[in-house]
Amino acid sequence: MEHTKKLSIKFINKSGNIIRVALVLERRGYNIKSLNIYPLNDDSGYSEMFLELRGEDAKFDQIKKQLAKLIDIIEVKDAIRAEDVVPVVAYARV
Amino acid sequence: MSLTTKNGAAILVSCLEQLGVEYVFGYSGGAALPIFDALYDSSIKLILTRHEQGATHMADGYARTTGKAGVVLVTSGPGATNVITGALTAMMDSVPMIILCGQVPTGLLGMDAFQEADVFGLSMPAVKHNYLVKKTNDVPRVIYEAFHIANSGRPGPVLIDLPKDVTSGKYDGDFNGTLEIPGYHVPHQPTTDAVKSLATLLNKARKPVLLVGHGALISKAHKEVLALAEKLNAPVVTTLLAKGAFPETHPLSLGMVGMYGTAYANKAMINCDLVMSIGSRWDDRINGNPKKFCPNAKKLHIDIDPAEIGKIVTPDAYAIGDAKIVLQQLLPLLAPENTSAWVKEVEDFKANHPLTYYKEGGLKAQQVIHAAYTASKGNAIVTTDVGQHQMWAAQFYLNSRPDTWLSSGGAGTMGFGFPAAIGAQIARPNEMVIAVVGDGGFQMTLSELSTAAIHKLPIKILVVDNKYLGMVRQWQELFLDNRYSGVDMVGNPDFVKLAEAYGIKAFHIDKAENVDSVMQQAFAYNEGPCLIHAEVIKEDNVYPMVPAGACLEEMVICAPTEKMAMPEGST
Repeated sequence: MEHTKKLSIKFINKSGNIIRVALVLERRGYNIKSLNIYPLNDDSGYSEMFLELRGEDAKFDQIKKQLAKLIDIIEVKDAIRAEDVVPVVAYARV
Repeated sequence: MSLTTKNGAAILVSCLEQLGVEYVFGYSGGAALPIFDALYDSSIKLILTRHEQGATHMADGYARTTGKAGVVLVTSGPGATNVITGALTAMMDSVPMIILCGQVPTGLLGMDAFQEADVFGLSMPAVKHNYLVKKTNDVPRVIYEAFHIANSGRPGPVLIDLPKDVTSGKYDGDFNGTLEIPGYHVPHQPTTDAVKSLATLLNKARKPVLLVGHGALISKAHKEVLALAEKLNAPVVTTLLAKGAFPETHPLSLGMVGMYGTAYANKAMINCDLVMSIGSRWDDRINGNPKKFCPNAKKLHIDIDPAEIGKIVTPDAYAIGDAKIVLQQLLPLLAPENTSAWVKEVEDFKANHPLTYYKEGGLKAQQVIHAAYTASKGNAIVTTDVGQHQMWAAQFYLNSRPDTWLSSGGAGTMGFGFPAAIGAQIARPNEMVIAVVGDGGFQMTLSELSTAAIHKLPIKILVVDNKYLGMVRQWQELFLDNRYSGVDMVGNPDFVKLAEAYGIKAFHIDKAENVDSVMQQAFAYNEGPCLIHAEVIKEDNVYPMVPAGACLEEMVICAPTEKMAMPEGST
């Protein structure tokens, strides 16, 4: 079974770390449908990436552990809020 | 740390010295010139190899023998790409290694400069972590972080790409030992509940088996494994890499399990009511078909890597932590059932399906390896290459001490055995080291004969020469109607003359009746390396065998009389 999954990954935003995440996903047959990255609004200096993924459901929990194992990943969690994946942007005519 | 008057390379070498590095295995080149220059004044001994791959396997052999990270130093471009195989080998087998690569200056990165390769990108899937250092002042922190990452938790290789302007630039930093790896956590201590859950199931088991993996060796848990096996009165099987974690001469030892494991180890797995993996990842060499694996058994798993829990086998209970600590906490909780009937059943498996081979019909590799076992009194450090000789060595050279069996398991890297033996012999100059290699794999890294000869390392290089890539040939015989394709090693050199060309003593065996006497002579020679060229029969197969992707019940104990179906699993 394949369903869309949403992940939130807090990480140290050094060059190369997006590739590390992408390599784990590619190797396990997951496709990235969308990817957004934002710096966190705190003093941590970390960034957060939000991913919409498609791949086999059965592999998902183990893939999260493999992602968490990457040295520069701080936290991996399911992104359950809609705004985690599609940021709310307000447009206003001025 | 007074580091203020040095360049990046000098700081790098100072850090290596402070971290206790004794040897660097390397091959020089332009982009690494500053680092080689800094080594000139260092207490660290540089072992100049003949190929970068050889350097990685030497560092690997050093690391597996000592438990300390092996250090590799190469230049940029092809020098760096030549370490990828060795990095993968170390990664797959959880071996600590530091790989230092020269790189073109930062201003030329991405400009297709001479000897530029994006080794940072190329190596990512083959290492535990890697760095591209862009500031000289970052050098000490990166080195300390790299050693910490390589050596801790589930060990692995860490590659550091060092542009030439970074290593030649002036260091004026103030590194105080603080590491910046907030995302890296090692779960040494298991939870109390996890250990209790293991104990609860172990205390109910009447037919337990301990499956000991490389993790038990890495955590130096061999004494705890012995205590556990004896307290539970449980038979012990090991993976290929864990040979020596439990004495193979112990009555409870069933030897290696899996694809070419002993029949009795596999039968014990089929019939047990509980199997506990201690630092093994249930990989496809022991578990071709996870759906049918140990069908009647509770599965318990101890591993320091949380990502291994549930990856292949979903355990009934598990503990995440260092195997030694988990076992130390587990032992006092055990009040096992009487397992003597089960041990008797397993002893019957041993009596009915002993490990054996046909001794008639020419010189057999098994006889040669057994003779090496006898001549070395079973006390040597043994390295192997990959293929039939590797499996025969695993079957017929019994290891009774930890860290005395060095073989490329996960990656299955041909060319590993001989340079790994060099690393092991450098690490353990007073021990006997035997490299059991095939004629195929040996030819991949035999240029290191120079390295062994220069340093007068008394390695016994046992070339098991069947003039075939024997394991592939075996599969083509059994599953592909003898359509031998790409396996004939026609054109092999005269290995005795080859060794002599390097100034290395060499012996030759092609008759069964000469094996013991030649082996005695060769093993008595300790002035430097010696090569024993054993010409064995061309076509012989490794049994028992479990076809790839099959369950252990489908084990083939001796030569089949009917054609077999091509297995579905990974070969």
